[in-house]
Amino acid sequence: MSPNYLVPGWIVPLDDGRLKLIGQRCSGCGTQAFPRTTACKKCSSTSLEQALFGPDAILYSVTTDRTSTSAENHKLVGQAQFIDGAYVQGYVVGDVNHPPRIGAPIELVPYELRFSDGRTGTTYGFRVKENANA
Amino acid sequence: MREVVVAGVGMARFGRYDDKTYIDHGVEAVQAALADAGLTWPEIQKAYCGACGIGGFAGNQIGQELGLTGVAIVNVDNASASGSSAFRQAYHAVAEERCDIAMAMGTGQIGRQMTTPLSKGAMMKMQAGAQTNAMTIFALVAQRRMHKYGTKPEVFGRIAVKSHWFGARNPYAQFQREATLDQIMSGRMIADPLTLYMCCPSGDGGAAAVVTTPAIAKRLGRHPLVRVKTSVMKGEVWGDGPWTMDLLTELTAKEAYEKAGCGPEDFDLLQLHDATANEELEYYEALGLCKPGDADKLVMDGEVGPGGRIPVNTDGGLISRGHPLGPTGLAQTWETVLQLRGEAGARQVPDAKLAAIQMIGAGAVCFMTILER
Repeated sequence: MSPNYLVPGWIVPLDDGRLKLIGQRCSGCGTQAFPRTTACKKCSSTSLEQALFGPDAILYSVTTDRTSTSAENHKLVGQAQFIDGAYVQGYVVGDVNHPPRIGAPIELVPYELRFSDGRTGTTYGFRVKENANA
Repeated sequence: MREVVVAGVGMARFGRYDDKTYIDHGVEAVQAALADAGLTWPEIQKAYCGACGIGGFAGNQIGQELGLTGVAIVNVDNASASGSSAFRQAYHAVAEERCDIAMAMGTGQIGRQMTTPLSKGAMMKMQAGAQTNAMTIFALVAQRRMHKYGTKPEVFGRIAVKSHWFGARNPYAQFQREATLDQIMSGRMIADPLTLYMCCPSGDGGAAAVVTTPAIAKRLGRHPLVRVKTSVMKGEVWGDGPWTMDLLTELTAKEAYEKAGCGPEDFDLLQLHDATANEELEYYEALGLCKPGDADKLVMDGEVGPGGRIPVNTDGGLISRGHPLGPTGLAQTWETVLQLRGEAGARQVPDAKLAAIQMIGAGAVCFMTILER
């Protein structure tokens, strides 16, 4: 059964279970971004090509969101830096009390979200690559 | 453009109220500013109201309580910088000779902040992209700084100590208690490494400022003149990295310093946007108080605290004074004007003559105002 992607237009699933994200590349200045926008954020050109990010990236920053007073709702949130410069924020797979190190090589994988009303859905998440020094 | 001075300022204490609305807070602040200036509502020729997420006509609702004088009231929503926007509009109305006396007011009420309904799809994208929590974004900035410069969480804690010290001496602050470093570091973690005391609260309140010409202010004869040396506003620019509010601040400050003919070495005090303690630290560098990477030393050496070279957020900042969004920029103005007049009581910076105010609004926008006695 295919996952219930919360935003299907963002995600390209790969055969090995990992993901790519559907972003954009500006034909005018080369700037890459995700999510997509109407025009390039850097130069305002509307000449935008589809660009696929991932599955590999570097963990640019990471924190544990403990806003909820219930520990079971705490989540790792991070920012990934992709090879062509795009930065993307997303959830991080791992132990909320032992986050991976900044600079760790990561990959895009499915991440399941559970909402307060019991619904679930799949988005993208970042996972430290196996054999990486996390 | 002609010269503009701040003739009066007023506040409705920031906090959480069950028995007051944003209209009450706005009215209280406006009446306080009018009394401070020695003016009446019918003498206001133009008015601007900063409010975030409340709806389209908060200013008009406040005006209805004060008298239907026919004054044109413009409402502006620029998130955290709504009050700053209102101030800039009022300043320009007088500077450009479109009127002689203008009011800038701001108001906010918990439960009505940032409540512009998003479409289901837009909300889903925020949740799917882990974008649901502003404090998380600041925590990511903090973590990146710790990685890049080796900054310790204690530095953020000491900023919060400093801000709560000032807030404890501000009778209009939401929180009026000092906090020790131990209390701050051991507080509930919100998003690592930011604890509760390092983050701004949500709440209600109001603030207002009356601007006019020097001639009118002298005739009113209430206070030493506080002149607006410059007011600059810039919108978000593209930058490398996921958080670029430091770049936006740097560019806005550069323009403000050039227009005012002064810089950070000249300021006696500074107010800035501190949604979290670490955000404040980033702006020390962006505003040119020190070189990139050196901001930690300013904190550890006490330079930005009471008695320091350049006290920052002398009313407690967003962290301690509070942040109802709409009025916050005008609360910064209120504090700065009091400091320059020598009326700031127990938190007074000695002989303050020149000060700067920086404010960021989500979206994003940056304001820099420089005031001089």
